[in-house]
Amino acid sequence: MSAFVDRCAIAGIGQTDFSRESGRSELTLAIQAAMAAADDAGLPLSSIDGIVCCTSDNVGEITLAHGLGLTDLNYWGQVGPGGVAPPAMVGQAVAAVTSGLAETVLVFRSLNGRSGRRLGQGTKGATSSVVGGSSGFDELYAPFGLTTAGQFFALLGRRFMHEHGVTHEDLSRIAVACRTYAQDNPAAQMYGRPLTLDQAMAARMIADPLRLNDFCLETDGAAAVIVTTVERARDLQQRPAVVRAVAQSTGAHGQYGMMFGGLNRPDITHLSSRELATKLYRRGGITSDQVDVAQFYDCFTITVAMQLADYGLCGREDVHDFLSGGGIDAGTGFAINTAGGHLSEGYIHGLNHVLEGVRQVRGTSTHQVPGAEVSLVTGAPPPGGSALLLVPDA
Amino acid sequence: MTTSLIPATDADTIGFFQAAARGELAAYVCLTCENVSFPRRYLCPNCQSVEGEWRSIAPRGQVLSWTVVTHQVSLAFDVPYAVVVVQHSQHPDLHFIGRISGEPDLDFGSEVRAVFESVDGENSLVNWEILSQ
Repeated sequence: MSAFVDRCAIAGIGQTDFSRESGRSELTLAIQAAMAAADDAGLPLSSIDGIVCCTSDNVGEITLAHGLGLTDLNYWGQVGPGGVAPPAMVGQAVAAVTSGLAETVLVFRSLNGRSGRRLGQGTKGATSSVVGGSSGFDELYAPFGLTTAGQFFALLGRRFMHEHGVTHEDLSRIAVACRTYAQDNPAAQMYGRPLTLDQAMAARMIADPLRLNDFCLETDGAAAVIVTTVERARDLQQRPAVVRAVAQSTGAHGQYGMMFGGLNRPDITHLSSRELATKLYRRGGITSDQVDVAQFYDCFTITVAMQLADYGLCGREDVHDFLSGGGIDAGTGFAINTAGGHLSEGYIHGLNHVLEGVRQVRGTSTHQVPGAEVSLVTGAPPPGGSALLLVPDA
Repeated sequence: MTTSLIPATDADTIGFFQAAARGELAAYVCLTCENVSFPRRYLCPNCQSVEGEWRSIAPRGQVLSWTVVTHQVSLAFDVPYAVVVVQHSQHPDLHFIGRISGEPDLDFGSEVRAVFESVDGENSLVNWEILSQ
């Protein structure tokens, strides 16, 4: 077990409303989420002496410090890219606290993901006539018609479905589970809008084999968590969500680029989550059968399906049997994405999954797993990945 | 109508597009250990040599995966069209991406051949056509 095991905890969580048009700047959203997290922890904003943000955020750490009225910040840092980052952002906060660089670190992500830049629109190749260069490698993809994350995951997904006998009905069960959980969560964007299996299977095709409900939402909003030592967290007003382990991995082969380079890995369905899960469980001294609840990064349904065996929820050849047999069905199967996930709660690029992982450990989720002791949170698996294990305070 | 996106290259990809303009499919070969990579890896992952060159390889492969894009995002390409991931016939670790207009009849392992398309008189792309069975 690693030196940081059980040393730090998430002491506060905060978020804004999740909407299609916030009407606010991303800086304002970040400030509101940070204020909510500090209020949740029972800490004055002035106690925050470190900030970690995502490289994809438009709001810089120093800008947010200024916005919060913080002076003489002790530590700041960034982790990327995109949805890969949130568990690793918490990890960087843990590293800062355990090394003494900071005492109380705010981790945030803020985006106007619907009314501002829409990530689903893909590379600049979507709108400009020249694309690529500068070590980004987009020239190998966009001129050939591959410009979006949906198309990329469709290519990975079709191969994965072929290799493992996974059907679109299996994927639709993931969409329906997330939507069902969202019906318990008034803060979810899809609250009040249930989805049936038949509807998901018949939804409009976007990038074959992925249909509308295989895609996550686009969201305006922000989320934030506060990381400090377990000892300090015990003196605050919430039950500490202890960071048992955090891990990052680029996987067995690694890749270049933001995403599309995953198609040039020797095995395109071997994601970083395979090595990442092994590392995470080893660091935490946890076996997969001890995990009680999981928030799987779900930019698409297929992204969840491709992580299940890596994290030990089923065998590598059993993904179809596991899903078709109701393995993750809401209320009866293993509980995943219990606030609704990116598919139905909102898309705060992975950080809202960390908040829900904390709620499960506190016992305050809108779909609480009774007595949850080990809570798993994963980030996006390409181009690298990160993941986190949270446990209640002993 | 379908227009085009022009590739901006750098030192790790330019040899591929220069070869395409000559009607050749190219990969990068380490001069020390003959390791083949695409795109170029300046530092050979096998022997750490930095000496290598672009060489022509057989313009043949098999379909590893594909998607049919039916939702218009990029204005450069009319839908529907297929994006294919091609596994090279002799170097299975090398994968190439191509676009085929319409909704072609594709299957896993379909045999394909590189076709070279000039996009603006100056830049060329490597796309792929299905060989009849």
